[in-house]
Amino acid sequence: MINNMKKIFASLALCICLLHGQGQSAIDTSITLDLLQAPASPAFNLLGISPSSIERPTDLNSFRLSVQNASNNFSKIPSNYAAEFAPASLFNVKNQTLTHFNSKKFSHVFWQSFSVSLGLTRTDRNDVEKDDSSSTTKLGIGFKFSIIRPHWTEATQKQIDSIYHYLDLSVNVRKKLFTNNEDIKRVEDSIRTVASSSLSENEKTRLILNLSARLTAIKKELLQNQTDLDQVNSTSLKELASELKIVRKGAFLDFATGMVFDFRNDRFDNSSIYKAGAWLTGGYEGGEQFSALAIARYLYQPDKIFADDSAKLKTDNISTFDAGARFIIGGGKKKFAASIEGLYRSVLKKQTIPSSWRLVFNASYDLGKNRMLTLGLGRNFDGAISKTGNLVAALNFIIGFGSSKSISRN
Amino acid sequence: MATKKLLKSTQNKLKAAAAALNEFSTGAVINGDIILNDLYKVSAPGGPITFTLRYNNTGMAASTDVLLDDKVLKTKVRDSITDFPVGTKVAGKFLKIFSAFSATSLTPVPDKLKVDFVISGGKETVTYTLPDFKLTTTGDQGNINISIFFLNV
Repeated sequence: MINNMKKIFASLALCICLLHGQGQSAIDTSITLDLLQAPASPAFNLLGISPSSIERPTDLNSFRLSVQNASNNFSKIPSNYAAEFAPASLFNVKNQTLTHFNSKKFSHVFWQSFSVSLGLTRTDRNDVEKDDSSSTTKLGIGFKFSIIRPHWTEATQKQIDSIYHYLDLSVNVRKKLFTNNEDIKRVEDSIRTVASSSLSENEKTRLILNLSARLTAIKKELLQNQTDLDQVNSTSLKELASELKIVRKGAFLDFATGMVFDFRNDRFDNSSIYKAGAWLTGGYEGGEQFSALAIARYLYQPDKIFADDSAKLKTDNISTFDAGARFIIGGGKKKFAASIEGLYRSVLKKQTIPSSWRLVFNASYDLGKNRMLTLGLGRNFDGAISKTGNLVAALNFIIGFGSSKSISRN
Repeated sequence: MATKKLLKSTQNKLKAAAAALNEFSTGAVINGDIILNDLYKVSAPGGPITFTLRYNNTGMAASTDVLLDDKVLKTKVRDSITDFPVGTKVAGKFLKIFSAFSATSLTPVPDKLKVDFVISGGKETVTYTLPDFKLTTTGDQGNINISIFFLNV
């Protein structure tokens, strides 16, 4: 597969050279695909605020309390409020336990990844937070969820197996403690005796509940007297569970969207869409062989138009569509590494700024003993290719002298 | 099921013992352990008895062993248990559930432990209330020790 990919990349590089041999300028690599990444909280990003405190309620009661505090006991609309929550946690949606986080079933993936960001602020026309007559109330709502989610890596699975191993130990300790205790056995026998007696149902119920309370008291005493019951397990388990970092490997597809409403004159029956955005991110993550990332982004009235470097256009009523993709092959311990990154940017329904694209190709081969063969080619947004101009000139043969240290790849 | 008739003196002793135990509760939390001892009314012969022990906190890990008296029904059940079949001939026996749980880095904290424990198939479906348990930091852990006596009515 690597050999085939090498041929493909070599052909692609050659095509770029032949098609655009006229340009010689350097490619602006300061703009990367990461620029198009979906924000962590779409609502706050579109509102242009970095809230100092974000409420993160975990149930409906804490959400109600959070709103109650912000609104001065529901007496006024808060001038500044930001909350982020997972509806699955708020509404006790099932299948949220640890093993379900390795599920690929859409309903599990959706609810486990679904998060809502909500922001309310007062800003002026320049998005500066103010609380005077020049500002209006803006409400931002954002959603994020995964559509396709990869499985855990083997290392993650091992870490999770260790967590369950310690939980099993904890269960066994209590099972032995309670099932072998003579006092508990005696009370259980008494309960059986009461149950098989000729007493009325009510009387049996009352007596058994009282004996059950006795069982609770005995178990309480047993646990109280054995404070070091599973101290070692407990410490190891806490470390593992709190440091659990889930790493996944495979194909993924995530979606995020957000919208900001502007309430003119602070009237809630007079609103307009102030800003909006949607992000679709997909690809393949993990492994040393191959990884890919592709992003498509739509923005309505963005702060800055990606396709408009010289800021010719005003952003009012402007919609933009940008997309990009990156493929990486090899790298890590492999001798051959290659990557190709493409970006496309456009302003929808406006002819003033034409759409443009950029393609950058990088490849390297480690010959060993400080020798590395590298190749970098590209086409910029303005149509010019990289300054090397042809494939032969773009080949850089790097030899390090005097040291046996490896040359690291960028 | 045949019932034994208790002597009047035994009945009185049991009543006295029960009265003395009134101050106790069937549920408690001690050193991170939740204890619940209760009864569930069944009729013999009855339908299959099932139970659900569902953890509702995000990212919660749990392992559970299930016993009927001393007979092991299942061990190392991961996370939640839904509609676990206990059996039909359960009257006069104890359902014993030993479950260890741990909040992970995926679990939002602080929060309270959200667990549903429901038994059905008997006289009526019962949702038991477990004593409150707080999760204060990531990695907080605990145990649930349940013992339910199946009373034939």
